[in-house]
Amino acid sequence: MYSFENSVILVVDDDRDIVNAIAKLLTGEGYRVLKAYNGLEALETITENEVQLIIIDVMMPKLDGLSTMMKIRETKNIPIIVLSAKSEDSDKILGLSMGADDYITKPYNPLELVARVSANLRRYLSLGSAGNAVSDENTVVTGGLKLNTKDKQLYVDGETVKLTATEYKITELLMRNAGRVFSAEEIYDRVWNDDECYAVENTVMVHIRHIREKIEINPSEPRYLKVVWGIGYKIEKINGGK
Amino acid sequence: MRFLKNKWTRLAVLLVASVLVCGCTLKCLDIVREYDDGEAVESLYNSDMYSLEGERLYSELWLFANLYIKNQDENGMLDEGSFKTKHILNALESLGYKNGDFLGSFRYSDIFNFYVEYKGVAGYSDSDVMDFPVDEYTILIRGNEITSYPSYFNGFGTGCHYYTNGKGFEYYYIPHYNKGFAVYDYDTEGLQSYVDELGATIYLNEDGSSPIPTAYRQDAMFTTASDYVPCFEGDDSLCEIRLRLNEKNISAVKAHEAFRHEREKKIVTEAVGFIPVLLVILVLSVYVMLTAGFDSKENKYKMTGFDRIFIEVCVLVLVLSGMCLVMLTEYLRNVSEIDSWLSSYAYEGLATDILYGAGVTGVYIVAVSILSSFVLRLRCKSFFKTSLIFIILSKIFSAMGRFIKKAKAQARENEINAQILKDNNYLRRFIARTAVFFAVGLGVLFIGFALEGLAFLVIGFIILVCGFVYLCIKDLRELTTLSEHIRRISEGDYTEYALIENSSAYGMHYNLNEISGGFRKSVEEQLKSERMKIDLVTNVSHDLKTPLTSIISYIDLLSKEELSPEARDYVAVLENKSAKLKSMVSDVFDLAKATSGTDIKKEKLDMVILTGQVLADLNDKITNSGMEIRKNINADTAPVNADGKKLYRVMQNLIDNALKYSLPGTRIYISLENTESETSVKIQNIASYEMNFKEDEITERFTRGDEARTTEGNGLGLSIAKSYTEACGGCFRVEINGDSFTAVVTLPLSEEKGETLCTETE
Repeated sequence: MYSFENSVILVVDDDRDIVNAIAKLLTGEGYRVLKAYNGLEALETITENEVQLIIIDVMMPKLDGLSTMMKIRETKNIPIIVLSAKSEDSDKILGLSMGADDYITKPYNPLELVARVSANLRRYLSLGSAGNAVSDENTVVTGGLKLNTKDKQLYVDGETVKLTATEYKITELLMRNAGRVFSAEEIYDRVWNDDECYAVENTVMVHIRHIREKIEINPSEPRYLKVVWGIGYKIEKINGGK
Repeated sequence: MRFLKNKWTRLAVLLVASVLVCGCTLKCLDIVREYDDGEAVESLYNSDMYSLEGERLYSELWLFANLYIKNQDENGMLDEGSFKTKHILNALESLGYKNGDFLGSFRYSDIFNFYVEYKGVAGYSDSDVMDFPVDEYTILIRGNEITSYPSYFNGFGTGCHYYTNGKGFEYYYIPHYNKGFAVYDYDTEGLQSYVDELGATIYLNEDGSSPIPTAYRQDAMFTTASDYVPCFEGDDSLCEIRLRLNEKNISAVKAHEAFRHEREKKIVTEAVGFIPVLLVILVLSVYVMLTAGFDSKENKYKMTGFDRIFIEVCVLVLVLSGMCLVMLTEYLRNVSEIDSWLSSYAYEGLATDILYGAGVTGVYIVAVSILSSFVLRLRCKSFFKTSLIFIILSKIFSAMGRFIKKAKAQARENEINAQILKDNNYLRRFIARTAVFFAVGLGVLFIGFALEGLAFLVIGFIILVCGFVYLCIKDLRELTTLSEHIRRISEGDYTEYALIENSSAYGMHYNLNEISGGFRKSVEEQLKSERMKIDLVTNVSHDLKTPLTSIISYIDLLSKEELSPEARDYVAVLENKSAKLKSMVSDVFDLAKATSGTDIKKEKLDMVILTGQVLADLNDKITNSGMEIRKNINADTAPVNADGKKLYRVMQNLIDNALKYSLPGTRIYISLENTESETSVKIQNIASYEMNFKEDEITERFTRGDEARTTEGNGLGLSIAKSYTEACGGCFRVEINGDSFTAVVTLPLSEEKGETLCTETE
């Protein structure tokens, strides 16, 4: 387990109670927390201090979160988590495409917030350079997932995850074809190599759920392993994972 | 440059120009006066003496030629014994020649030399002058017309006439004396006579007729009211008379001409001297006009009150002042008295000078001011705006335009009303047409038989039938457009249908357009209010989320504190309820979005797979609930075009509901069936309580089966399921049969075009 006790996190929100709550939560986890209440303050703070991660609200007075983020991105490469009450897909896509590393909707789950913060920090601090994230013969990478096919190991944000043999096979199939949707039958055929097709959907789904619980921070809102309802399953292809 | 445009510079320039104008006027007056003085020296040609003397001499010479030369014998004498000579002498006596002694009383002229010729016999004033030239000092009269005359000649009365009937009667008319006389070459003794209007004694012929032909008498013309001139035609061309100024008068005329020439030259010289001054005045005037109205303070051209006076008034003033000047000129001819009175104090013509100078300068200033104002108006683009006529005309035109527009609109409205009122007249038209067709057909038949022309019969009938069919097809085509229009409306296309003005279907199309317009409007309004509702819900849910975030965060922090067991229980309750609140807020939001149907991403998917996935996904929950689920999938595949996430939510909500409200120990049946065009998923369970609600009520928002609202759930599950299903183009239905509760999700299969299949069976 990595330790990031000295990491500095900047929390930006115009609601002081929320900032305080997050500060308290993260301080409890051993992080140092800086506070800002609008975009301009946030920009000031990051020029004056060394910050490793930013949690930022979107709707703020003076300078909104997205604009602030674009400003920060001009100079800094640190992870930014957007924390917003806007929960629509289009809002998430907009936030992520404008430079956010993660998008959490309000009201957030405190445990999930902590988990995401540490995941992002880990990725940024330990995997940092893009060099590690490039797929070669023996590794398959998508986002924070890294699969070493040689020693059959899966790393999530640099941390080893233990998978059963079937789970590993499913993960390998989906990761090697990241972005492609597989139906349950296809997965069953290729992983089990078994002609007997009884309750395939259930069997596959159970494994998928297990894998999800291991690799996803919030299994009910998966980032990597997704169910494409009415079609099948896939692992999202995420380029240039940090 | 600024200085040039200054108001005061302008004024000064105007003053200078005015002074120059005044000076010019005075100088002009001088010249005119000088010219007048010159004109006062009378030329001989202009004198009365010249023309009077000329006329007299001409008349006498003419008489001499016609009476003497014509009638004389070889010795130059008249035949003493003849009747004619007697008459001639009488006549001459009546003209004032004593005893008819023409030659004796003939008066020579101081002015003219003369020459007279009749049939080659000539007479001279001066027998020494054999060569009598026809030059610039000679008046030449042939017959009774002046054929050549000096350039200054003013003319005098010629027109002596001679007539003969060839039977001894001759008539002479001398305008100079305004007298006529008759000469007879026969004995007039005892003949009846009368005296005509010119004093001539006319003897009637023996038979009582007049020697003057009736036609001539009737043609007698009256040069004045009292003048009677018999309009005879006689041969006068034999007589030629020349009048030439004598040497003394020629030299006088020459001298006068020289003087006149000299003076003209002088005047022209002086007038040419004016040109530069006039140019200067022109330049100054143009300058004043071009810079008029420039406000150097504001650095722009500006109109003042003067520039707003109507143009017509300005023009009137200009014209009036011009007329005043003309009247002044007239008047000045009579001011010589004042002049002569003033001349004892100053010089002659002072009053004229003052009046004229002031008058012309005044008119000049008025003209320049008005023209400057016009230029300024043009510059300010308000030339026509200050014209009374233009204003009145434009008012009239705009009023007329309005009237015409109104009348046109009225006419158009009337026409439309007429068209609308014109109900279906196809039948009427068809009957009328058929009747005409039959009538004409019969006509063709009769004519055909009458002429026994088979060809005519056949061709006539073909033409008739073709025309009839064409008209029918035309009508039917119009009806087809009508059915097309109705089809469009029934398909929900409420756009305006292009009206065909002169079609009989116009009224019907118009009314259909009205109907679809009403629909469109109500649909638009509905959409608008729906959008507003969604906006409201979105905003409210965002506003709810922020405090909720704090609540959840602090409850979490609180749960980490050291607490008494009781407090810990309370925190657990808080945690539980806040989580519920959170899900409710997000459900409300989802519902609002679903109703709008904006967030739907349709893709091809399989309901069979989806059902399996959902069941697998909820496997844990199902196992935990202890309920038993029976799956009954009666199809290999059920491809639909829908949003997978939304359908997952639908299925999840329905299964959740079934798990929540089922009577323990009963089974939940999930079945999937395909019909030709749609697939339906049924979820059937036995309720654990009495369902005393109607089937359509349960899908309303916030309605729950158990009215006590004791169990978990917020009553949004079924409404979300319904909204999402409908947003995906499907139909959601609930069936209640005793304690059996069935939810049916029906979706169109994607081989068919995605259409709403919601058939309201309830």
